[in-house]
Amino acid sequence: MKLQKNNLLSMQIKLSPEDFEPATKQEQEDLNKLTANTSYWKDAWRRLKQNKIAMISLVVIILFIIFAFVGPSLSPYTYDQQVRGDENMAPNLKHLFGTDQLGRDLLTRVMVGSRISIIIGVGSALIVLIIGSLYGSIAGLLGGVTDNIMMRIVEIIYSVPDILIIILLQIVIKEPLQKAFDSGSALGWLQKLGPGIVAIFIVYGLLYWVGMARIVRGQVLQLKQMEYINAASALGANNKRLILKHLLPNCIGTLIITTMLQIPSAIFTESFLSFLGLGVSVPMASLGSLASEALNGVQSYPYRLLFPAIAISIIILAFNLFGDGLRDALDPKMKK
Amino acid sequence: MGSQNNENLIEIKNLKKYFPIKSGFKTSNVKAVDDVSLFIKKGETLGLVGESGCGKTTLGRTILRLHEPSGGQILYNGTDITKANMHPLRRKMQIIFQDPYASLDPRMTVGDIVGEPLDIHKMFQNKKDRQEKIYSLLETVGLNREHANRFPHEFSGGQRQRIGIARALAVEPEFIVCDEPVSALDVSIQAQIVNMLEDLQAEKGFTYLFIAHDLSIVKHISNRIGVMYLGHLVELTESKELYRNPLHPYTQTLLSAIPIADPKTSRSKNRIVLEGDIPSPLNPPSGCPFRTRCPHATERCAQERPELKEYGSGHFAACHNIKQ
Repeated sequence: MKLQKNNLLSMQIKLSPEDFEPATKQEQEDLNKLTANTSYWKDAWRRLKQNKIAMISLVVIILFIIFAFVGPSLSPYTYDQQVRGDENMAPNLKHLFGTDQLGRDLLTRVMVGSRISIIIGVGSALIVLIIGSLYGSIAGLLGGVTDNIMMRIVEIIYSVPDILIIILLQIVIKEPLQKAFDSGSALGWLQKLGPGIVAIFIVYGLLYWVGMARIVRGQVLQLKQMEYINAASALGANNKRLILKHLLPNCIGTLIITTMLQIPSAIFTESFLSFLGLGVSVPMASLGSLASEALNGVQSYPYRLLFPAIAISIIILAFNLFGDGLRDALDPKMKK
Repeated sequence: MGSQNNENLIEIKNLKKYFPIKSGFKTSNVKAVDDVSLFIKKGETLGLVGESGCGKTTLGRTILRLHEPSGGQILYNGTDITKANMHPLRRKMQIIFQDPYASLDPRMTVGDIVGEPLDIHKMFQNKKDRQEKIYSLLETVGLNREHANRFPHEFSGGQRQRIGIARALAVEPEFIVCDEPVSALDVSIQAQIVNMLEDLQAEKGFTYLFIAHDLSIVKHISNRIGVMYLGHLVELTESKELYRNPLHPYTQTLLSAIPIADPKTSRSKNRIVLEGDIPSPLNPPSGCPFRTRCPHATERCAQERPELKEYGSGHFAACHNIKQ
C-alpha cells in the first residue's frame, strides 16, 4: 500500500478510516505473549533450566534425598542390626554394598549416614543463614560506630581456629548434654545424633555465620542507598521493618546462593570430624564415621571405604554445582 | 523574617545541613544547606528552584528529618520538631521522590507498596477495609484496582510516579514535599502528573513544597517561589512578582535562560551569561556566595554575607546591591 502525503514537503501522511483494520486473533495473542509478565522467579527458573549441569545436579540431589530419607524404611535391615553369620561379606544380592565386621548391612548404613550428613548440612546452613543475615543487615543498616564494632567482632571470630573449638566444646558439653538427654525426652532425636553433632551445630551457630554476615552487610550497604529505603523511612518504618520487609527480600538471591554453597561445606566438615572420631557416636553412622571405620580393614575390604566415599563426593559435588548454577540463574549480571 | 502567625504550616529558621567529609585526619564540611529561613503557608505551593547541587533536595529532606539538621529549627504548625519523635509526624508530612524507578521496592506488589504506610501506622485492623483503601487510593491517582497485584517493573515511568503519589497520600498527610516529581518523566506525562497534583491540592487542601529545576513548571504550579544558590536562599517571593521583577542578580540570570518558543523574540532577548562554575560547597566563597560570578559584585560582597531582606510586600532577597 502506497501512503499518500498531505502535501509534498510535509511529513504528515493522509490517513482515512479505511486504512485501519482490527487486529487479528493471532496478532492479539502475539502482543499478549510479548507483554507477558516475566517475574524474577520465572526468569530465574528459565535460566536455570537452560543450565544442563545445574539441572542434572538438582536431579541427583533429589534422588539422593529420596535415597537417604525413604531408603532406610524400604531396607529389610536397620542400621544397627547385626546379622549373625553375614559378617564381612563382599557386595552380593543379599547385601548390595556388603556388610561390616559386625554383620551390619552397609547399604542401610550408607543411607542412614547420608541422611545424617544432609540433616547436618541443611541444619547448619539454616543456622548460618538466620544468624548471619540478621547480624549482617543490622550492622550494615545502622552503620557508623555500631557497624565498626560489630565487624571487628566478626574479624575476631574469623581468626578463631574452628576445629579446636569443636573439640573443646564437645568435651565441655558432653556431660551436661547427657544429663539433659537422661531427664528430658524432647531431645530424643538429638540424643541419637550424639553430643558430637550437637557440638557441630553449636559451633556453626557460633563461628560459621561470619562469612554470611559479611556478604549480607555488603549488600545492605549498597541497598540502603536506594530511594525506596528512604521512602520507607519517610513513611515511618522502623529498622526492623526495613530489614525484614525491604533489605533482606532484596538480597534474597545472595542469601539463597550463599546458603546453598554452605550446605556442602557443612557436610564436608561433618564428614571430616566424624572421620577423626569427633562426630556421631556409635552405633549411629555418618558418612565420615563409615569411612573412618572402613579404614581399619581397608586392605582386605576396600569396598567399605569406597561406598561412603563415593556418597560424600556425589553429595558435595551436586550441591556445589547446583549452587553455582543457581548463582548464574539468580544473578543475570554474573552471566557472560 | 516571616510573620509568626497561625497560617504558617511550616516555618524553618536558620536551618543548616552539613555533611562531614573525612580526608586523612582533617574533617571538612560540605555545606549543602546553610542558614536557610523560610515559611510555607497552609494550602499553598512553595516552589524551590536552583541549579543541580544547590541543596534543594537536601533542604526538602531535612525538613522531613530524613537528614538530621546540623543546626537551626523546623517548626510544624508552630511546634518545634527539630528534636521531636517523628513517628506520629510521618502521617502529616510526606514526600514524593524524583526517580520513580528507584523509589518503589522491586520485590513488593503495588498493593503492598501503597498499603505499607497503612500497616506502619496501623490504620486498619480489618484486612478488607485495608484492601478497599488501597483500591480507592489507586483509583484516586488514576490507576485500576487490578494493578494492585502487579510488580513495579510492569509499569511505565508515569504510572510508577502515580504509585509513589498514592503511597504518599495513603497516610492522608497535610504537607507533601515534591522532590522533582516530574523531572524523570517525559513532557506529556509531566503535564498529567502536575495537573493531578494540582487537582489533589484543590480537593484535599495539601500544602506542597515543590522542588524542581524546570522554571516553567514551577511557575505554573507555585504560589510563591524560592531561589537557592549554593545552599543559600537568595530570593523568595510571589511567583508572578518573581517573573516580573527579579531582584537578585542570580534570579535575573536564571530567568533570562528560559528558552522562548518563538525564534523572533528569542533572538532579540538579552540573555545574561555567567562566567565560571558554581564554587565547591566544600570551600564556599566568603561573604555573598554568588559574588564570584556576579556581574555587580563589590568589595562589600566579599566581606559581608547579605541577609535576606524584605523589599516590598513579601518579596525577600539577599543582595547588597539592590537599590530601593
